[in-house]
Amino acid sequence: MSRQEIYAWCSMGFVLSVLILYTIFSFGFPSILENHYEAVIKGLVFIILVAVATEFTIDYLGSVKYGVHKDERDMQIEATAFKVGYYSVMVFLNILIGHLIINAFFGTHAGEAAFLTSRETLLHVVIYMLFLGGLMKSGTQVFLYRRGG
Amino acid sequence: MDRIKIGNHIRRLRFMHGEMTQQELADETGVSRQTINALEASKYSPSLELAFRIANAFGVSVEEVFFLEVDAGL
Repeated sequence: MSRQEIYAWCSMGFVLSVLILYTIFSFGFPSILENHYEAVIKGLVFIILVAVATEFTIDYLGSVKYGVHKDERDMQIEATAFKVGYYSVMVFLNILIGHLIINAFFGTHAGEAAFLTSRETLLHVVIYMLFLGGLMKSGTQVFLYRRGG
Repeated sequence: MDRIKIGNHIRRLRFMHGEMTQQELADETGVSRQTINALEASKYSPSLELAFRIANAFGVSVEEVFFLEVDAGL
């Protein structure tokens, strides 16, 4: 596994863990896992700490020019992954804007639709959008590294 | 439509050069061992610069390392 592949795995673990923690603190812990609350939180925090430590180590090795930090294949994979992440965010954003425009023009008829346009929900949606964009980026990197190209 | 892939003789050339390892070739050309592995498996097409660096590492021309593979099945 190359350094950049390890970095991509860490990045994916970090974003996924933060996303799950954000969901738990925003919407509450699922009642089905109530008995494992502490273990789940500790596990997620552990993943975040390991990911951050590994990313710092890889960055440090790159800054002192120890070994190959990033070669042309890594850069090509990163560029493709950035493109996928960017397009994902743009798709989510367009869906959200379309939804808001439709609501503004035609109004809301159901309570559920009104909930989707509340400021608090919109903030959650935007934050999820950014997390998902990051997740798509690191997920694409991991997929391309695993595929070999 | 024919699909064109870039094939190579890197594995054969490595063995002809004193059983050079992927890591040794990677160190000589400034890329990671995983990139050499992907190249050998024809899963990655190198830049012109890397192609020349690999050819130089073996002391041969680029054409002796890389060739075009046309897959007429597509």
